[in-house]
Amino acid sequence: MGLEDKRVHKGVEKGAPFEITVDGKKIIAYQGETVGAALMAAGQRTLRYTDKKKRPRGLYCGIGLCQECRMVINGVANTQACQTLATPGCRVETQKSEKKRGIEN
Amino acid sequence: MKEAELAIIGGGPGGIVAAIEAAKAGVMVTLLDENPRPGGQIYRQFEKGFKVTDPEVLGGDYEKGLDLLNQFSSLGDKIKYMNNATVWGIFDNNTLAFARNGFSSSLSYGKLLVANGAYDRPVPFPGWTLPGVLTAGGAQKLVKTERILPGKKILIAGTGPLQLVLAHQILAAGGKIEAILEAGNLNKNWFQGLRGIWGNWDYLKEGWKYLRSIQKSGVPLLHNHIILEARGDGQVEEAVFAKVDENWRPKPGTERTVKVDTICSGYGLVPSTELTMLAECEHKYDNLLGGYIPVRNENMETTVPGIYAVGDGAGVAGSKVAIEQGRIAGTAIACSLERISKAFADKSIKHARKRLNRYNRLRKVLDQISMPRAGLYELARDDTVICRCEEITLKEIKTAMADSTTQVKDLKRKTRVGMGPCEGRMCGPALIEILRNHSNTSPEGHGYLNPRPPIKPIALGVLAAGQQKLEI
Amino acid sequence: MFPEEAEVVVIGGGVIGSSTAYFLAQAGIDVVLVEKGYQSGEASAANSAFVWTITRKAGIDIRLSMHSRRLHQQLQKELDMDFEYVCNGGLLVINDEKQMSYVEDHVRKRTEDGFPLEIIDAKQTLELEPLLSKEKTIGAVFSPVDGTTNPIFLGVALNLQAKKLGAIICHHTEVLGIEVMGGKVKGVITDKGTIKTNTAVNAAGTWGGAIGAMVGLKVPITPFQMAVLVTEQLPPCVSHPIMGASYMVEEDAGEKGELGCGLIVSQQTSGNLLIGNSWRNAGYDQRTSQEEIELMARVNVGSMPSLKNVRVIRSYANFFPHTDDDLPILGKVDGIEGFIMACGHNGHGVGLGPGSGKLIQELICEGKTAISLDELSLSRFYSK
Repeated sequence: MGLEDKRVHKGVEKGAPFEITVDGKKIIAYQGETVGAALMAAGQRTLRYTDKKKRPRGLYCGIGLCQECRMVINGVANTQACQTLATPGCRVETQKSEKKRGIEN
Repeated sequence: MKEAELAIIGGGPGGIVAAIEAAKAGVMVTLLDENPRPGGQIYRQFEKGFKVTDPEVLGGDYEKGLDLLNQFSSLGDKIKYMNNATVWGIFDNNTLAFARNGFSSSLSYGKLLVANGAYDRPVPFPGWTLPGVLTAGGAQKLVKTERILPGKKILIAGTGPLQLVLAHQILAAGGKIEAILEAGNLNKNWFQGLRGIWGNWDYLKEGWKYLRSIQKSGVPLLHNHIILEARGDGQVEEAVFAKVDENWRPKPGTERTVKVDTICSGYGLVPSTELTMLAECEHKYDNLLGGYIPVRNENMETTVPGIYAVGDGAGVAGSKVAIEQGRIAGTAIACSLERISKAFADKSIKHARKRLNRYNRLRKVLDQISMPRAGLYELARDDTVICRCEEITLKEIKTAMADSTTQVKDLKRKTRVGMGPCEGRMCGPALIEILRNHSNTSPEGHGYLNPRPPIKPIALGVLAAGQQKLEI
Repeated sequence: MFPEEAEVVVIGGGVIGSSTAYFLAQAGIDVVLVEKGYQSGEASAANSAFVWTITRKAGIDIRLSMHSRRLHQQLQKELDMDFEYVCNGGLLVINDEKQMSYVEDHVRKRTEDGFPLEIIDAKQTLELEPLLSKEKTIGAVFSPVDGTTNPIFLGVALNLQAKKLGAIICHHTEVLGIEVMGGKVKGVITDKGTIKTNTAVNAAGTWGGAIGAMVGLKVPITPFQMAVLVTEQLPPCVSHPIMGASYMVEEDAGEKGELGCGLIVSQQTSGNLLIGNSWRNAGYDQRTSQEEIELMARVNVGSMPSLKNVRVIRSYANFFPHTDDDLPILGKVDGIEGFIMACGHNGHGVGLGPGSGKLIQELICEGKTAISLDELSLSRFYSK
């Protein structure tokens, strides 16, 4: 997919890389990146599907206001990917309405 | 005895400069910042883990920001800086509520300064909810601070100088831009703008720098052009745009399609006024400054005594203006707390007021060019989603308007627009304009979506852990 | 064009006023509804959305509730617009033995009156609502006829249908006075003009006293501020309206104090949870306070701990029209022909709205009502 490798290394050195799991698959993230940014770099831009019409949504405002980047992160639904730093081994899932709740099981 | 003599909400240039001025005069300042580090949007700092190896690449704002932030941190013993603190309400008895470290708290203040900035104007157009359409501000945060390009083939569509800054940053980061669409016409207003530009050489110099870098790169900068549609199967694959008249309405027959994977929508900013509205400050609608703004006097005090507002959150005018307003407010507050005399305050602020007047002259010119015109809010079609959270289309809104509804709040009750987790931020500005276009009246006649606490979503567990007083 | 004349003017556009206007229009009456504020009014647009009978007392209280509940069902079929009435049954959750004995007493009285209630054990309760705290739940009253609705949409649906049937619905129209001559209503004066009429229905809820004063009546309705939290949308996780028994105990005690809260939770069709309710001695202050927001969260998370990560996206508050005996004021008044009371529904306006509207329509059109309104007249407050 042509959208990978969008990381910019010029002028700013990134921290240490590590793996995170997205929908069961492993991708690389760097220390200091948000989950949203790491997904963007990996070429995944659909972060959730809407409740009513099941439409794909992704990053829009980037500063935590639009609520479009809500994903299930480490089991907690409705977690904003643009506001959550990626951490080694964190589990990220594309949020779909039938599947997950904002509730601990 | 209040917990904070002066509480400042917001860690951007306005808030930081006000904190510095007040602290220098001996005021005990507490600054609440929702981010992990001060700087706001424009001087946003890197997360832990990133190391700057070549500041040149990051542009002038980065260095200016560093200077300011160093001044701020050097006053660490006089300014209590609380990071990751989300202010979610303003209540009686000079109290604000904030969430931090997993629990909710309250803070009582003597004086309050609201400097919580603005956000990108959400402009509904067909396909705007597709992954790959993001705001210019969102794209800028990705490129500048997270060092990630938002796409491989980018279209920038919007108005105003911020677009040029974004374009420059993307090019400097090695990104590819297909075109930049500017809805207004910067060239045409050159002579009209001369008076505004006179004296504002620093602005001009920056502007020229960005323009030249774009010219050199060969990226087409199309004046009088607007985005019409984003298309694609599940994400952006192409964009349709057209030439527009002076009301930003597309001229028939000028539509063009371009293959892109990303559209950065940058049609100005909207002031965040939830807190000043909750605090019952009087607001007025100003099209040039982004929408509803608090009414203020020359010292940046709102109509509620003791509550001040500066920066983009009180009227979009950029960081230079925010800084001077911060200076004026910080000094005026120190004076009102009798830390400095009025004569001393007036003298200190004299230069700030002069600079502010100079900047405001240029701002008026820029704002005239970039002020949203009628055509911007006519881009949506019947099947375009207006309320992103609740997925309400323009058609549903028009149906609700059919019985001559004029109030935004009535639309909300009839259709659920504004009832989602974004709390009306993404649809509110559009609803006012849709109603205004429809009934051809003043924007204030339509009311606005009332902010209600918590003004940002807060988890039940965080609220439940509340009732813990701030330890100083 | 502002209407200059009507057979009936209904004052108040909440669920009670809107139901009244709808049933009148359905009966062929030329009706105008005036509401001073926004679509669906005040308390009707800011409550917990329960259509509830469990805690209603034996006697006229439960009779009214059952009658109105059946009309919710009827309206759901009759109105073109869906207002999301869902009837899965309701739960009154019991947390300790003191509450249990209070509830058993209530159940006994209701059963004697012919409106029985069933107490189920902890296991059955948790099967019905798995999110309830296992440690704190010892049982519940389950009532299969209880449910929830979308009261704002109910107002919209009633107004839309009434208009189709010829009614005129005016929002943002404030009543300034009522013309009475020779003991008869002659017109309703609003800020948009005067409507000539011989019949005015006072469905002004918490403002029922102000409207009553316009015809020289003392109407003992006082504002009772209650607040609710709204969460973000979730997949179905709460299927019944849930009330904590402590709420009922305190409601009956009548001692509300400065600030308090009882467990009230339900899930709207849209997926949002409505969590509450706190009450605050706040006069006509419609704002929510930090204390009550945090208190509601604490009470809720205490009873349903797995909701702790769910985010609250707003709060709202409004005033329930409080009467001392917790019953509404319905019916004609002595001395003023054509002035009809239909307000003071305390916290039960949503449930009782359609029923009240139908009874008022019957009163106006036929002179007699399916349930006698004698116990509910305004004069009960003055005859000692």
